[in-house]
Amino acid sequence: MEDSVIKAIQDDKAKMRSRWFFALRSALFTLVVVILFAALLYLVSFIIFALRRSGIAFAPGFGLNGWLLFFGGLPWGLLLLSLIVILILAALINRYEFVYHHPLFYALAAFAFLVVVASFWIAATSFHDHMFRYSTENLPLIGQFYQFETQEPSDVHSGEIVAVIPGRGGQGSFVIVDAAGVTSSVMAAQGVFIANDFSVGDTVMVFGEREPNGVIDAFGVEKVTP
Amino acid sequence: MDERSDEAIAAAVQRGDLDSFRELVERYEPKMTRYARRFLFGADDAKDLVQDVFIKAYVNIKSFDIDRRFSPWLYRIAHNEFVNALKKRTKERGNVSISFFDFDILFPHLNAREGADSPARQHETRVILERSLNDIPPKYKEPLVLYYFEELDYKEIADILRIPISTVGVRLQRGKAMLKKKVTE
Repeated sequence: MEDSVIKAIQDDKAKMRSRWFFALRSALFTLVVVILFAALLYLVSFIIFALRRSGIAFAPGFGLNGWLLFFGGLPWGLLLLSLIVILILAALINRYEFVYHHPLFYALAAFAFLVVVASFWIAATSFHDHMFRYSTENLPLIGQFYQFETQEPSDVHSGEIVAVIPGRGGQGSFVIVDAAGVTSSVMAAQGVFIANDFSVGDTVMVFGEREPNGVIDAFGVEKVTP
Repeated sequence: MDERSDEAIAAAVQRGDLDSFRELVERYEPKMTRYARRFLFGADDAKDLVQDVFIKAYVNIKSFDIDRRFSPWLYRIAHNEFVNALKKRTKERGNVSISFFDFDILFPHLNAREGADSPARQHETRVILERSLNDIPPKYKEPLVLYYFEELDYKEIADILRIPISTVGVRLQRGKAMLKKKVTE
């Protein structure tokens, strides 16, 4: 055995790789991990941004209808893509002792926590707002992606309050005008209480079906910062 | 005169000393052949596979960190080589592909710490293992071979298989339970 192994080496059938080879491979590996991690942060923070912008993030606060709207409006494709990137990253970093010595669950949980916290922080900055504006003007394809993913579902209507109509028992109803100039009257759906604490000029997101006559049967209203 | 450590020899090989590599091959050839024969169940190509392991070790020797132990590093190369051979063989025979992934690497296990078997019990397990090793799936067979025949500890096995230390314990327990079942059948 020794002789045949040594002969293969002497015959140049096996050449020792240089330290540079391993250093370069390690640097390349680190670069791939960093790029994937950055892409993951971008993706998850974008999902949070899109959910807030489309109003879906506020829906769970309004009961069962809200939850149904929330789950129906989640960007499942992007969430699946994020999960795939997380699994790829977990598989990549599993070569390090501090990762594989412990159950994979710990690494995945720590990783998911880090990604979610960092993504919420990014989503809270104006990064995606700038990207949205910039891409809409300069990068048509990315601009379309931003517009598609942030559009409101059919049961979410945002607009500015132009008139407030006080109702009985503290119940409020009002009139909104959306960005396209369409006017809708907002009334509480049956069994729903909407407090009368809105003023003209407030920007709101109304959750509920819009009837052909322009009345929205709201099961929830969220005041948002304009 | 004190015998040079594996790590010292590996460092000499990194500096280009081919005779030192011959020494490493001499030291590890019996272990690697034994590991291959037991893990691959007396494969005819065991010798060729072991030769490939040493050639790969030589090619990649500069990636070895001399501050760490040499033996798990070499066993890791052997593990990869043997698993690939096993997969290839399974594919050629048209059998269902073997899987080394297990959900037991996902969650913590509380009762999977390294325990000290008495020498008599270790011997008994080895005898049973020799007889029934082929009846155990590779995923459980490999830790048993590494622990009982190659006498590696849980941490070293975890480093070779790149699985959590607690999972090594779980696989050993399950492997032994399978053996027990086979013996009582």
